[in-house]
Formats: sequence, structure tokens, C-alpha cells
Amino acid sequence: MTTTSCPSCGTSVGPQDRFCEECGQSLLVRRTPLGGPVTKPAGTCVACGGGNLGDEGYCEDCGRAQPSGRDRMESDLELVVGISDKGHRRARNEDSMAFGTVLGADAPPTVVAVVCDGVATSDRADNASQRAVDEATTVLLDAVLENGDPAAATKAAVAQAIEAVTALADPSVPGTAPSCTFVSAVVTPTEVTVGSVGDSRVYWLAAPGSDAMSSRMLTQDDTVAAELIAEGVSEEEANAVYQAHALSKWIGADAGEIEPRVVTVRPDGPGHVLLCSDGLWNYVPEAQALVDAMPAEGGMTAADTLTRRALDLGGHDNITTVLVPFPPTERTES
Amino acid sequence: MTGQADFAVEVYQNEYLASGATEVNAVVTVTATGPATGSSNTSGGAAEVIIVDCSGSMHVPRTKLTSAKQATAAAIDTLRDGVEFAVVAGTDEARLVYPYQHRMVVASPQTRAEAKDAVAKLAANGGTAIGRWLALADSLFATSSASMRHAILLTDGQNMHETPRELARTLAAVTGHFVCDCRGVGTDWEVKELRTIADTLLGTVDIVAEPEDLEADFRAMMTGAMSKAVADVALRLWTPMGATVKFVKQVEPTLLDLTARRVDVPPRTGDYPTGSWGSETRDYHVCVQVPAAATGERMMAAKVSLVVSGPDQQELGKGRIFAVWTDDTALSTKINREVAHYTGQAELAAAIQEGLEARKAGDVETATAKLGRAVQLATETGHTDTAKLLSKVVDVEDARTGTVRLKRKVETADEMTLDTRSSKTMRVRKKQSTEAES
Repeated sequence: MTTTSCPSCGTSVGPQDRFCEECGQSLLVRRTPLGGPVTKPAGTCVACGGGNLGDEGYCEDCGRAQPSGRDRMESDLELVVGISDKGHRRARNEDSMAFGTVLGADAPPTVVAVVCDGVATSDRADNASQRAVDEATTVLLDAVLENGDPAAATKAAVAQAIEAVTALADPSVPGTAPSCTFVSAVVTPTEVTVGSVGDSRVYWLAAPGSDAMSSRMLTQDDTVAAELIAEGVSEEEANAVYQAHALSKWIGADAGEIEPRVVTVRPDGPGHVLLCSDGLWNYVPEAQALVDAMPAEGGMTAADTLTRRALDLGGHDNITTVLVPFPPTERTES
Repeated sequence: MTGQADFAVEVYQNEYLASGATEVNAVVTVTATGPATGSSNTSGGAAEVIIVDCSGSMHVPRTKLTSAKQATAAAIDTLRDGVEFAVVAGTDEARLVYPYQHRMVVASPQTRAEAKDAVAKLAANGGTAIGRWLALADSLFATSSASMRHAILLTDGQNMHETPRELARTLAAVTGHFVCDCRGVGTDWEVKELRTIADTLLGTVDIVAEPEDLEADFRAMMTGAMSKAVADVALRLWTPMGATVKFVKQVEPTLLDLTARRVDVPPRTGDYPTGSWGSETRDYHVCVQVPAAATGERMMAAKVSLVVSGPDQQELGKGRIFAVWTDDTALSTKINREVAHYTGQAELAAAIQEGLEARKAGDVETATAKLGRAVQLATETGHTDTAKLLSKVVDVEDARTGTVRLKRKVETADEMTLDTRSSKTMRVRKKQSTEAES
């Protein structure tokens, strides 16, 4: 791949350069901006159209809350796309996503992606999830640049996310420590390594008609019900217990000592890796149903189609959908 | 005022509304902190007028006038050095007792002694025209540049020697000029009349059934007045386009409906007078009707702050009342406990006042129902003082269901005490402000 300008700041660079002279970023890396791919505010009130917007995020005339740039976040880095949507019912989007690609040089093209779902009962959950995805993505990208082991990098990324979210906790306010779930994927041309804490999920979605590994969920939920099922309790009984869907593990100051579940698979055929929050999978939990719902060509159209499906079915929660094609190769000009 | 006062505003509410709902309720707690008590004893500070009823009935019994004079002397002793003051004797006219010219004098050991001498010579003779007393007090305050203006009004009778309309006209003319605490001594005065005066002038009303209790009460009232450090504070309320303020009520320490007292401050803002403040906490119940928005939408339904009058009109404290529309009935049906508490207190006060009114009018059925409900509410909310007062007016059969019988014979003083103290509220024990959640 020949780069003529820095993917971070746009400054033109030489064909042999590995780092941008201007901003110091690696020329091999493209990633979502820190703080999230937020939408710029319109400057006029969404409800009354007036221009008298206060600095607290409300219209000074009609009082209506103005959409945050986080309400709908979209990013297309070609090899990986993602949409994070507030949904219909929640006041804020407390999901976050971050991802990046490492292309060129001697390393194989690699995509890293992280999705975190802020726990709604915690304080500043959106802040927690955003910090977690940004910090974890940095750890994963650095590891890829240094040819590190993806499984080890995933554990390091979770550790970093825990540290970042813990730092947000206000020790003087008990019970409201910001917290979130975590899923990550490191996708190379041969392997997919996923890490998870909580109830966000990663799916392998085989391309229709291919002889790749069959479509499946690659993560396991850390919920009370899922743990009971793992212990041999029937699905029906497990789902009936008090707070069956409460998280048994999460990322945050009050989470205690936790280790992510890390799994590496070799799909041996084309398909997509989907990272999502429960705002999507609550409506479409089966891997095959996700394949059926999604346009086969993937990309932004597919991410949008899946997000829209969840919105149409109620959009009760924040919805985040990140799609990585497998194998992650540059799209050929057709 | 001198020194820096500060106001902290906390909001307690359930911001979730069912889809289509438009009424937003919140309890706003305002806590004033700031200049130490007594820091305002400069000429910019405080002025006090003591109005003593000297109508003929103050002789019956004889102890009434004697006690009133002693109480006034005690109040004069409580005046801080530097506070301007005057004493007015009220009959069917108003007479300046001290000082000897139409002005106010600065309290000092000498002026306090002179004033007490003048008060000792007071005799009771004549009728009652409270409006004229207030008018004289108002004209005395006008000679002073003090910002903290407070009056004590003592009466033992009904306002017989002027028409209600005359009193109303005077009240309207002096409103906002000074704060007035009213005391009724004995049982021949009208609770409703004195409550109207106290409410309008942002003061308190109470009964002093026994003349000998006057002195302690006057001293307490004066101590309270002397502890005020900031005058003319208004509660400022911003509401969005298309919204209506249904009511703004002070709900603690006493019930006081401020809704009609709004002074518009365009655009979309209004000020509600709250009088003078010391270091204290008061609660307000704000109810705003907003245009409904779609499920999931969030709106700022009101902004609350405090405004201290003066050239720079400082706006202090900051509270936000929100509305969030949801389909989740578990969220929207939850009633905030602070709002519920004060809604209950307001209902209790209304039940007592309406019950006593009905009793007076001979409507036994309504009186029994209302006072029964009052007993039930007072019991439910742990309002033991009020429950005790109620038990002097009704025989309680079952407090839990509010089953009562009207007592055949009721002491007038007991009935009037229940009536005057019905607007006294009990503070709710708070958990945590909803602002912490956002």
C-alpha cells in the first residue's frame, strides 16, 4: 500500500516514511478518533429550530435536550465499519466503539475493534465506555505493530480498560462507580482472537454458501443465567432466577479482580466478525439469524441494516454494531 | 446587606413522565449560608418596627396589656446596637410611641431605655384598625435606608374599625416593603385575617393564648429577625416556551403559596419573593406544566436560582428540573418521596382549615370528614404535634382510617391553635438529590 498522506492529520508524507513528521503517528495505522466518532452539533434546536442553545446541552427557549454527538456515531475505515445508536428509549448513548487497522509494511493486514456497553445504573457510564474502548484499542494497535501475541494483548487491553475506568470512580460516592462491559477482536488474515467481559458479544458470521467454520457466537455472556447454564442448570430454570440477566462480571472500580475470557479461532473461510452490544443481540440473538438479516457484501450497508433491525424491533437499548470482514484484505477494485 | 451570602439549591424529583404526561413536580431545597449573624449591624443593615395593639380590649384581662408591654420591652432589649427601630401603638388609629419624631432611631443603651420608658406608659383605649398601623410602620421604614426591614405585629382583636377593603388596599400598598411576623393574643382575633397579613408580608403567624407567654415569644421573634442577613431574596424560575407554572409554594418551614406573587422577568423567567434569609434551609414545591414531547425526549422543565436584590442583582445557586418521557411505567409511576411528603403536608393543612371552617359553619358532615382525613394524614406522616392538637377538637375512634367524632365542647384557644399551626410543616428526611444522577 502506498501512502501519500498521513491518515491521522492529512500531512503529505514520503513513500518510505513509517511515521508522520507532522503528528508523529504511525503511517500504518488508521483508527477512530479518541472520544469517539461523534457527530458535530447542528447549532440550532432540534425541536423548535431556534439558535439559542445553552452550554448545558438544552435549548434556552423550549428547554428540549439537544442530541449529543454520541447519539449516533458512525465510522467507516473501509476494512472495519461501525455504528453506535442511542436507540429509541434511552436518554443517552452509553455504548462506545473504537477500532483501527494496521496495513502495509511487513505485517499482515490486521483489524482491531473494541465495543463497550456502559452499565446504565452507574454514573457517567458513557464516559466509562468511551475511555475503555479508546485505551484498549491503543493497547491492541501497539501490540499489532510490535507483532505481539493477540491473546496476551487482549488481556493487556482489558487490564488497561479496567485501570482507565477505575480512575473515573469518585470514591466519595458509593455505589455509582462508572462501569461497562467489554468485547474486543483482533482479526488477522488467519485468526480471530476475541476477549470479553460482561454481556456484549462477538459473533462469527460465515459467508452464505462458504465452507468456513459455521456461524456462531464466539463469546460467552458473564451473566447470572449464563453462569448457571454453564454449571448445568437448564436454560429455562436459569432464566427464571432473580436478576437472571444481571452482569456477573464487568469493568469498573467495583468489579474486583477479573480476567477476560479470551478465545482464538481459525475460521478457514470467508465471513464477518460482528462485535455488538445487547441492544442488537437482544432482538436477534441467533448467529444464523444475523447472517440472514445482513446484506452479504458487508460494509456500512450491513452495519446499518442490522442497527435498523434492532431499532425497528423497539430499540429499547443503545445499539452498537461493528463489522470486520474476514479475511481482512483490502477491497479489490472491481 | 454586608458580607457574602450564598445559596445552594438541590432538586428532588422523579423526572420520568409517562408518554403524553405534562405535569412536572419537584421539591427544591434552598440552603442559605454566608455572613455570620450580626454582621449586618451597620447603617445599611436592619430596621425594626414593633406594633403593639393598645385597643380597649387589651385591658381584659388586665394582664394582657401588662404582658404586651413586658414583651415589647424584652424585644427592645434584644435589638442589636446599630439596628434602627421604632414602636407603634395601634388602636383605631396608629400612634408613634417612640421615638418622639416621625423617624427611626439607632438602638443604643440610651435609646433602648428611652423606648422602654415610653412603652411602660402605654394605656389601652380605642378600637382596632390594623391597616393604619401597617401604613404608619411603612412610612417609618421609608425614613430608613436599611435593607432588612422587619415588623412585629401584636393584636388581640378583629379588625373592626376599618373595612376589609381598606385593609386589603393598605396591604397591597406595603407589600414587599417589609416582612411582618404577626401574633394574636387571647382568642378574640381572627385567624384567617392575621394569616392573610402574615402571608402577604412573608412573615409567620401564631397564637399566644396566654398573655404571660408573650415575652418569650417576642424575644424569640426578635432573635429570629436579628439573625437574618440577606433581605429581599427572590426565587427565580425559568420555564421553557409553552410551559405554565401551576404553582410555587414554600412548603417548609411553613406552607406559603407564592404562585400569585410572581413578578415577570422576561423572557420566560419570573421572580417569587421569599423575604429575608439568615443561615437556614427552606423547601419549595414547584409544579410546572410543559408541552408533551415524544418518548425518549428529555427537556429542561425549569431552572431555579435565587436572586438577591440590589444594584448588581446577583443570581445565586442553581437547580435544574427535568422531564424525560418514557414508556417504562416502572419509572414514570414512581412518586418522588419528597414531593409526596409535601403534597401530604399541604393536604393536611387544607383538611384542617376546611374542616374547622365547616365546623364553624355548622356543617357537621364535612367537618367530620375533613378533620377525620386530617387525623389520618397526621398519623400517617408522623405529625404528632398536629395529631395532638386535632385530638382536642375531635374524638378519635380510629386514627388509621380517620374515623372521628366532633367534640361537643372545644376550647376556643385549642381550635385557634390548631388553625394557626396547620400551615407549619415538618421537614422530610432526604435521601439524595436527583441532580447527582445526571
